[in-house]
Amino acid sequence: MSNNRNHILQDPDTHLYIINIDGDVYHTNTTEKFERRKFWNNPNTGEIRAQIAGTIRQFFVAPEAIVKRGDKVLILEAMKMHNEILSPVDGIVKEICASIGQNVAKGDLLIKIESK
Amino acid sequence: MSKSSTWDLKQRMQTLLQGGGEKAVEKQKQSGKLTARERIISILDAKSFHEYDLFVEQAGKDFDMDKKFLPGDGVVTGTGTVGGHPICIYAQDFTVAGGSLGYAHAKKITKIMDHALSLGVPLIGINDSGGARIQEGVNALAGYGEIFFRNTTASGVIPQLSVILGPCAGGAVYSPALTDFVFVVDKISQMFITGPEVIKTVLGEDVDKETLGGARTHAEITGNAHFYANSEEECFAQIKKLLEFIPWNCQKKADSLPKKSPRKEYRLDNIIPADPAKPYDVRNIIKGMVDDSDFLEIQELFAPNIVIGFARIEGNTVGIVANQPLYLAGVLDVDSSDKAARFVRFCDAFNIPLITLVDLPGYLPGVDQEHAGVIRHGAKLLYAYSEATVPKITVILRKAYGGGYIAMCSHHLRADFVFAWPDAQIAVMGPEGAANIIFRSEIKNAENPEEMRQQKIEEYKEKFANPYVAAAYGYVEAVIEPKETRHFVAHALSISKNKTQSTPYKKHGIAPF
Repeated sequence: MSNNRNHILQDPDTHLYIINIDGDVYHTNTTEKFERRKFWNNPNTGEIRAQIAGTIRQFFVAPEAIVKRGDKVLILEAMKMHNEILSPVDGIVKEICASIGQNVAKGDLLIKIESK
Repeated sequence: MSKSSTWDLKQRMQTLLQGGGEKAVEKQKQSGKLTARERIISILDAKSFHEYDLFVEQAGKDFDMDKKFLPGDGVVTGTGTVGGHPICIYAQDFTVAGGSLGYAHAKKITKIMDHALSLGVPLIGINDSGGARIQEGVNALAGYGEIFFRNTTASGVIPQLSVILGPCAGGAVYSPALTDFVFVVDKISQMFITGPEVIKTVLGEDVDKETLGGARTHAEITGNAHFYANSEEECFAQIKKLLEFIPWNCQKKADSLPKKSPRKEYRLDNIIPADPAKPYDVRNIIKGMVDDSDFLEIQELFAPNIVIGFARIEGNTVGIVANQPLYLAGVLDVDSSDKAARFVRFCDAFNIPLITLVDLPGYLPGVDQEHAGVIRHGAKLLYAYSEATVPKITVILRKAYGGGYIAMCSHHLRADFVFAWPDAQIAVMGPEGAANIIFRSEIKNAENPEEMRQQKIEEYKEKFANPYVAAAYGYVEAVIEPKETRHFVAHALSISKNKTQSTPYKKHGIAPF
């Protein structure tokens, strides 16, 4: 059910947001946390990102390698542990986006896989 | 009794048992779903289901609702047995007005809930509903409120299971959220407060229903679901399996079964790698300890850095909490603390002894964790363990550092018995970090700082990275060989059977949630 009355605006004077949901209008402030939030985007399943900050120790794959879901693709050392990172999909490795010894932050892109 | 009155009863029942009618039932089947009664029968023991309130009529008076015929008002309720144990159950019938919740519908549910509580038997609720019946106005909302209130009252008294087999949106989601275990099925379950439409409008985020609140999302990301299945059949098998492990109510203990040895392939001596930086699957340790290596894992996909679930040791149910080095090095973080804390409280409420297996580097550092509230979420685990009065047995397998050591049911939180394996390292932090701090000036002023650093790390390792310092203070009852673990734990459990622990008078504590 699409309802084109649904919209959100910001009042230029008061900076209040004006939200219209199914004809009901709300005037509201937002919180600092809300303002700073990251917009949600559908995660790309072929992108392996660091789930924890750490150091890349080893890659088990190179570009063009065929991987299966659950295959070990790299070791990310974090919290004094050699964490084994597994491929989330079946596919072909398109790009290695980090190097051995590199310190990565949480969320950094490590490997791109084209899923089959 | 006259023949005609029997015939009349049969006629009446036949009409009502058809639910929303042939077409609606066919539609239900096409979407891969069973009907409400089929679901109940699949869960309960054969021929044990007894349905009540079949003749209840809908209560709506406005918007021509009084002219509509809604069999059973869209919900099926009754009693039966699972594995011979009594149970109360209800299932919303999507074929009748989309399983929408009106006054009479809610009344049927609250009635069976009241039965469950007064009889002291578990309650299973099967959710498949479009939401509140808008035509009934505030009475629909009242219905939800009455259900939530009973969920809360019954919490910790009887086990409550919610099975999401269709949509469960808006306010309806809070009944499952208040219960102990939530079951979801891939491509069938949907739970969210607001749908994709409003989210798109207000926040500009484009998301489909499945990604927003499908089974996988709740099993993996939100942690709302405890059991994830690929089909309704698999889901029913999980429900039956869970019910084998838990008691009917808080005054009983779960059934004992004849004891069985762990299977031979799980040998505790060679699961943990010698290198403390190498990960391993802690579930293999659990399987090497418990009867028949049979472990029922809960919330397998959510916060996998901690493993929770039920098993038996010498025939009796235990709840197991274990750090999982295979994921995120086994750290405690916001989600894993929350997951474990809730499980600990369930076990404590239902007289299930707790076994804690420790191998963790500590709490996860980082801005996102700090801002996500790792302090207050982490506190939940400390609270839950401290508060629990069931027998508590802890085995330190390898690393037990810092706050993580304390939180994982240490002696200080009143573990009854703490055992440690010979390779255990019980310390404030890892040797590298500790040496860097303690010997900062020695390292800085040395001719060869790196050499000095290594030397000091070794010194620290020798002194503190072992279980004997903690054992010397009595914080560890016994240092044991891995292969002795089951023996020590089983003995500790058997002598703790009549454990009593009194707590100071209070109405209730204020848990940090």
